[in-house]
Amino acid sequence: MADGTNDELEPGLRAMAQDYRRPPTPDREAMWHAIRARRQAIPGIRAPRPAWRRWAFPVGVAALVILGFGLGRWTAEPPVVVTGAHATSDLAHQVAAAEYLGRVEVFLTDFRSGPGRLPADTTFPEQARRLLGTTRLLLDTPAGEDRRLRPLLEDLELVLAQIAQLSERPAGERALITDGLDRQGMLARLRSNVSAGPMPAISQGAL
Amino acid sequence: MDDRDLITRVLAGDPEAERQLYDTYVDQVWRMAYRFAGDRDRAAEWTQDTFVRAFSRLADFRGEARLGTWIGAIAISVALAGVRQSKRRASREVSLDEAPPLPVRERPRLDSDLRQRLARAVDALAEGYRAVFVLHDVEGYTHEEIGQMLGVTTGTSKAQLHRARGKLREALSAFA
Repeated sequence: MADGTNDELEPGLRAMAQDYRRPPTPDREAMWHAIRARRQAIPGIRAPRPAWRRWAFPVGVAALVILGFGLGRWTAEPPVVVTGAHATSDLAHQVAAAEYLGRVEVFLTDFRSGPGRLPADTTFPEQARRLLGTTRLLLDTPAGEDRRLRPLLEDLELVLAQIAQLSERPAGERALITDGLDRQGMLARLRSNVSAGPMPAISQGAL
Repeated sequence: MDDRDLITRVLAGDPEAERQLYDTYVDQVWRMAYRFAGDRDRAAEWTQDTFVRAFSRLADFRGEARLGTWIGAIAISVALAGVRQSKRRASREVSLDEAPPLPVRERPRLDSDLRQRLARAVDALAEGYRAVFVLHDVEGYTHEEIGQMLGVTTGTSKAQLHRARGKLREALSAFA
């Protein structure tokens, strides 16, 4: 197989590579039933929405965040005090995640509102590639196990991967990505996570 | 029926179209999941995760890549996340005393030794190298498809494949 790397794998090794974790026949029916059951348990496929509805979700989320923030302040209990090495580590990951989310928010806001210069402008894909690397690193830390944060990181991984590919794709795709950002309410979700802050607890002596 | 028609029918809630989409791509997703998982249970779980995510995001698919490549991107994202999760779990659960001993250097004897060593060497590759090697040299995807799946340029994909092959040759040098 020509791959442009000028170092073809030796035929013997290539044949052996095919045996690397050779997949057995899948149980297609069992998996299909499981998929159907899971989809019935959660909201299903999102049908395309009319333009006016694109803003309904982000606006609703923003309103809920404001309401939640107000209620949280009103009903707040004294902060939990956490000590020890785990607290230091968790806090470090939370701070890193918050700093990263702030950078992504700035980047996506810039991307969404910037002039349509792509694909000639390679700044956005380069930045997206760097942020994509950080996203994958974060998914590998305890911050990536946060039930609030993980779905957002996974969605960001896909969006950043799309932007990272922009320079190699036809012009006009930027608008499609922006449209996807709006429909997923990505910026509103990011802002709600950024405003929620990195520290749910005071970590005594952690830093 | 082409991908666009299929997607339109799935988005309209046609259960036959959903099943058709699944039947078309399940083997591709299963192969990819199994190559990274190495066991049936996890491969089945990741295959299901991939389709649940694909169905829930199908409205966002814009045709910038083939549908199979788009589903492949989700599959590889699910698989790599699963691999990371397994590594984290293993690093927490296995202490140094309980860890398996390092492989002892032995004189190569049989073809199966080389096969096993190759498998271990692939397992030991860094995540990015392993992903590109498995997708290109094992599953036969092009660098353009791999770039779209992993969110990297085709140049990066080629460079990572070159390095992955170098590492594998190094690991197998005792058999040369």
